[in-house]
Amino acid sequence: MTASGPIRAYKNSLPNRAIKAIRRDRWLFLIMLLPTAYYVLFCYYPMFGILVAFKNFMPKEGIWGSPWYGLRYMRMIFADSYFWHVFINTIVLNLANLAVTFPAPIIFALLLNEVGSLAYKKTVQTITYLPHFLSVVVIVGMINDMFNSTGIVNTIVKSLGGEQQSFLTSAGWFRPLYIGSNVWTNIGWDSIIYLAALSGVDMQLYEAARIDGAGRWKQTLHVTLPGILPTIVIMLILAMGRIMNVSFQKIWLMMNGGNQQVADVISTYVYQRGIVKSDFSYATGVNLFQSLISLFFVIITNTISRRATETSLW
Amino acid sequence: MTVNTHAAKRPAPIREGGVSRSVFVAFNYFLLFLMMLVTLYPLYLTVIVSISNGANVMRGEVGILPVNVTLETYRNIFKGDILLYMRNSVLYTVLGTFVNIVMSCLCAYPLTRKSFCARKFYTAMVTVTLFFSGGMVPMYLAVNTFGLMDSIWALILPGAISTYNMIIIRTAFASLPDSLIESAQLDGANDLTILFRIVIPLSKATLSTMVLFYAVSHWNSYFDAMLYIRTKTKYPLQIHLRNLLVAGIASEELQAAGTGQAFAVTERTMRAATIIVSTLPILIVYPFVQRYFVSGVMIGSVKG
Amino acid sequence: MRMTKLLSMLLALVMLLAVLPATAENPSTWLTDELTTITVMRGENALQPLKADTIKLQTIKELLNIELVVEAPPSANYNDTKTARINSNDMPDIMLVSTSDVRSFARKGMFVNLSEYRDELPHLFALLDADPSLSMLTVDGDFYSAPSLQRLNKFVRRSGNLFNFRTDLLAKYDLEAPKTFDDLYDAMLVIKQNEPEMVGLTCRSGTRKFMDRVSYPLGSGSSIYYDADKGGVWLYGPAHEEFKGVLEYLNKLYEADLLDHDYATNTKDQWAQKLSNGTAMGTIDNDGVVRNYVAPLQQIDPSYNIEVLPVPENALGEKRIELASADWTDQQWVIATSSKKIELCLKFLDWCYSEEGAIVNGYGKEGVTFYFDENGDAIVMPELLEEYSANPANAAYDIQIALGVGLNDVSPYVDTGVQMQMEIYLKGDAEAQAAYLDMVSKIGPMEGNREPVLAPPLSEAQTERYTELLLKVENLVWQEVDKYIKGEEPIENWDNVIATIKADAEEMEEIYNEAWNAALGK
Repeated sequence: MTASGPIRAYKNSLPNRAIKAIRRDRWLFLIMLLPTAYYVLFCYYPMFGILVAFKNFMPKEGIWGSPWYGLRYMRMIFADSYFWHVFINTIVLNLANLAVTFPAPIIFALLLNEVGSLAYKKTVQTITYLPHFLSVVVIVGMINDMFNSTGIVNTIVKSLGGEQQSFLTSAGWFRPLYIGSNVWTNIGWDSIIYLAALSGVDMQLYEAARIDGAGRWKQTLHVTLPGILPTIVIMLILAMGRIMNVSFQKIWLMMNGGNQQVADVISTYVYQRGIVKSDFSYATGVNLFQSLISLFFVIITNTISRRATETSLW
Repeated sequence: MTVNTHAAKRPAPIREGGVSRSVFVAFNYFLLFLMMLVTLYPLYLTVIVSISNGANVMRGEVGILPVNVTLETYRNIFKGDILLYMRNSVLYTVLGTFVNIVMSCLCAYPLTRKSFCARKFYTAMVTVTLFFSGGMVPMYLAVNTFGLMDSIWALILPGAISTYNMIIIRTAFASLPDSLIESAQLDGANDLTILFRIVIPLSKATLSTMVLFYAVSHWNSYFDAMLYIRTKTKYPLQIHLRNLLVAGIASEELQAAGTGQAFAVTERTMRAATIIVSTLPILIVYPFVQRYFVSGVMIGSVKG
Repeated sequence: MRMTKLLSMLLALVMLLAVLPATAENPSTWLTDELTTITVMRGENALQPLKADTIKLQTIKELLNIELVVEAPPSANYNDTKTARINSNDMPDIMLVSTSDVRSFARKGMFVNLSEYRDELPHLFALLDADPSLSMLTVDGDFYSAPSLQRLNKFVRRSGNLFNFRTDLLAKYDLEAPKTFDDLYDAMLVIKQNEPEMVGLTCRSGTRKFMDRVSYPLGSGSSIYYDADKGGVWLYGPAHEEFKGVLEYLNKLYEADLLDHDYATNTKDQWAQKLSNGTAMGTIDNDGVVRNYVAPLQQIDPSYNIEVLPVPENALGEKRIELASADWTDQQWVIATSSKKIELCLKFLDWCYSEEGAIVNGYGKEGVTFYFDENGDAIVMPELLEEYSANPANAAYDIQIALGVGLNDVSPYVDTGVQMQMEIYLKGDAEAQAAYLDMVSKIGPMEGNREPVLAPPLSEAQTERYTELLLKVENLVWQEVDKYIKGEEPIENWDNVIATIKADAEEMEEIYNEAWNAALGK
C-alpha cells in the first residue's frame, strides 16, 4: 500500500481525479492536520476581530453583536493630514533601516566565515549576539549617555576640532542614531540564520571552484553567495512584511521636540491620540491599514524575486 | 546544487592568495575584534553595575571597575518566589519549543512537496496569517472560549507555529534535493517517515537555529502570561523581572501623596542585575546550539 | 380555629428557636449570611508583592464574612491586562481603573452607576459630597467609580513637583533663599562663577515634562491648565503672552549656562546622577524622589544638602507651584455590571470608605497589629516596626506587604499611617525623628503651594473635538519650544506661533470652561 510511482488515472473525471489525488497525498494531508487545526483555531477564528474596524465596538455585545459603523474609522484615519505625515515617516524610517540592517548581518556572517580560528569565531559570535537581549530602555539610556552634550562622542568630536553637535535633538541625526543602534543590537543575532545557511553550503562546490582556480573572493561570489541566496531572499521578503512595524518603545523614548518632525511614526501618533488604550475599533482600523501596506510591499518583493531568483514565498 | 550524502567537515582555511589575502585576513580579524569591543563594553558595564553599590552607580562613578562590590541586588531579586518562576519558565520554554518545532516541521514539509495537490491552498492559508490577525482582544476571547485560561496551554497553543520561523524551515527543507525523497518513496517510505528520518536530520543546522529562536522567544515572553495566567504560582520568570524593571517608575506614580521611595538608589543596579539574570540561561545554553552552525555540520548520513 | 392558631404559634416559636442561635452566631457586622467570594483586580508593584493570606484579609473575612480574592497582574502592564479583560467582558467583580477608562467604558455600560445606589453608599457619598472638586470625576453627571481617597492621619505630609535647591551652596556663598526668579538667576550666577563645572537647574524626561513643571510657577502653563490668578479660567498656556515670559526666562538661564544643556534629553538616570554627584544646583521635581538622592550626595560631603524651598515669585508677581493631589484620583474602583454580586460589592465598597474599613485596610487588626492611642490615632505595634525594619531600604514596603495594608490590596480609602510610622521609626532616635517630622511638615504649608485642580469631565463629543484640536496644536508647539529656549529663534517670533494656534486654542479653552462650569452647576 505505498503511494509510489506515477500512476496516471485514465478515468479523468474531476471527482475521480480529486479522490485519486487525496488518496495519493493522504500522508501529507495527515501531516498537515495539526497545523491546519492550529491555523483555524488560533489564527482564523480570532481573525474575525478585524471586523471591529468597521464597527462601534461594544464589549457587552461582542464582536458580532456590536453595531456596524461602516467606514467611519477609516475616514477618521485618512482625513487626518498629520496621519499621512507620520505614514511617510514610518515608511522612510523603515526602508532606510532595512537598507542598512538587512545587509549588515549578511556581511558580518561572511566575514565571520572567513575566520580560520574556530575559537576566535565562536568568541566573536557569542559576544556580538548578546546585545539582542538588552531592553530598549537600557539601549536608549546608553545612546543618551554617549551622544549628549558632554558624552563621549561629543568629546571626541571636539578634540578633533569639530563643533559640538546636538545629536539627540536634531532631526538630521535621528535616523542615523536609530538605525545605527539597531545594527549594534541585532547584527550578531540576525547573522545566526545566515551562519546556519552557510554551514549548509556544499563543500564539494568549494573544492570544484578551487580546482578551477578561483580565489577566496571568487569563491564567495560564485559559491557562498548563491548557496545562501534562498535564505537571503526569504529573509528579505519576510522583512518586507514587517515594513510597517517599528519599535514603538524605542522611538517613543528617543523622540523629542527637536526630532519629532522625522521621528513621529504611526504607532507613536496613534498612542498620542490616546485612542488605542480604549478605542479598540480605531486601533484595529490602523492595524488593518498597516497590514494592507505590508502586504503590498511583500507582493512586489515576492514578484521581483520570483522572476529574478526563482525563490519566493508562494 | 547537489548535496553530498557523506559526512563532510568544513576544512581549515587554505592558505591561498598572496599579500592581499593576508591583508584582508588581518583586517578582518581586526574589524571583528573592534565589533566585539563595541558590544562587550556595554555588557561589561551592565555586569559591573549589577554588583556595585547603588549610590556609587547613581553618582556615575562606575565605569571601568565595580565599586564597593555587593551582591545585595541579587539577593533582592532572588527574594521570594523567583525559583518557582524560574522553574515555570524552564517548563514553558522546553514544552513550548518542542511543540513549536514539531508543529513547524509538520507544517513546513507538505508545503515543500511540489506534487502535493493542496500545496497552493495551504501556502495561501499560512501566508495570510503573516499580515492579518485579529489582535489582542479576539485572541483573548478565543483563549477564553477554548477553556485555556490560566493553564500552561494558553502560553503554548496560541503561538504553536510562528509563520516566520516556519517559512525559514520550509526554505531549508526545500533546499534538499528532490531525488533524496523520491528514492525514499521508491523504497516504500511514507511521508511521515521521510520527514522524521530524512528531512529533519538533514536540516539540523537550520532547525537548531529555530530551536534557539523559539526557545528565546518563549524565555523572554511575558505578554501572554500576563493576559492569560491568573494564578501567581504559574507565572513565568519574565513577568516578575519586567515588573522589577519598571518598579521604580511605578512606585513613583503611587507616591502622589508623598510616600517615600527608598528603591531609587538601587534602581539602576536592580535593572542591570535583572538583565543578567534573564540573559544568563541563554548564555549557558547557547554554546550547545552554536556548534551546529559554527564548527560545520554532518551533512547527512543516509545511504542513497 | 384555636387549634390552627395554637399550631401556628407553636410553629412560629419553633422557627424562632431555630433562627435565634443562628442569628446569635452571625455577627451584626457580616455583610452576607453565606461566606461569599469577591474577586478584586489591581496592579501589583514588583516591590510590594501581594500576599494571599494576610492578617488584613483574615480580619475582613471575620468581620464581613467576605472572602477577598485579589488578582494582581504586574503593574508594568496592568493597562493591557485591564483593557483586554474589559473589552472581552470578562471582568472581576471589582477592579482598579484609571479616570480615562471610566470615561470611555462607563458610557459603554461596563461599570455600575454608583449614583443610582447613592442611598446604599452613605460612607462613599459622604466623602464625595464633602469635596465638590471630585464632581470632576463624574461621567455625564453620574459617578461610575469610587476614587482612591486619602484618610488623613497625623503623619500625612504633602509633596509635589516642588522647588528643590542645594541650600548648602546658598549658605556657602552667603546668598539668601531666592525670593523671585530673578534672584534665583543672580544666585545661580554667583554659584556658577565659583563652581564653573556645575550645570545649574536640571530636569528629566524631556522638554515636555520639564515645561509641565516650570511653566506654572513662571506664570503660564504648558498645556491646558486652570489659572486662579487670571480670573479662574482654563487656559491653553502656550497661546498666551505669559508663555513668552517663560521661554524668555529659560533662554536667559540657558545662555548663562544655568540650565542643564541636556535638559531636553536627560533620562531619569542622568538626572539622578547630576543630583546625587553634586553637579546640579537644583530641580523642580517630586521632592520625595529628590530626597532619596540626599544620602548619596552627603556621602561625598556631609554638608551638602538639597532642600525644598518656597517657590520664587515670577515676573507677574505670582508666587505659585502645584502640590500633588492628596488623593489618588486617577486610581478608581469600579464594579463590573457583569458581576453576579453587585449588591454585595456595593456594600463592601461602602464599608471600605467607612472609618472601620479604612482602619482595617490601613492597619490590620486592632490589638494585634495596632492599637489606638489616647488621641484615637492608630499606632502600629512597636514590635512590628522593629521586626520589619531589618532591611531599611525596603522596610516601609516590607511591613505593608506582610500585613497587606496601606496602598496594597483593596485600598479605596487609604490610610498611609503604617508606611509613615515606619519611615519615622527608621530615622533613629527621638531627636532625629523629630527633626525629620519638622522638616517634612514644613513642606506642605509653604508659601505659594497650590492645590491641584482636576480637569472637568468632557462629554463624548467634546472629548473627540478637544483631542483633535489638542493634537494639532501640540504638534505645532512642541516642535518650536526648544528653539526659543536655546535662543535659535528670537522671542518676538513666538507671536507667530500664537497667531497660528490662537483660534484652536480658544476653542479648546471654551470646551474646558464650558465643561467646568457645567460640572460645578454654574
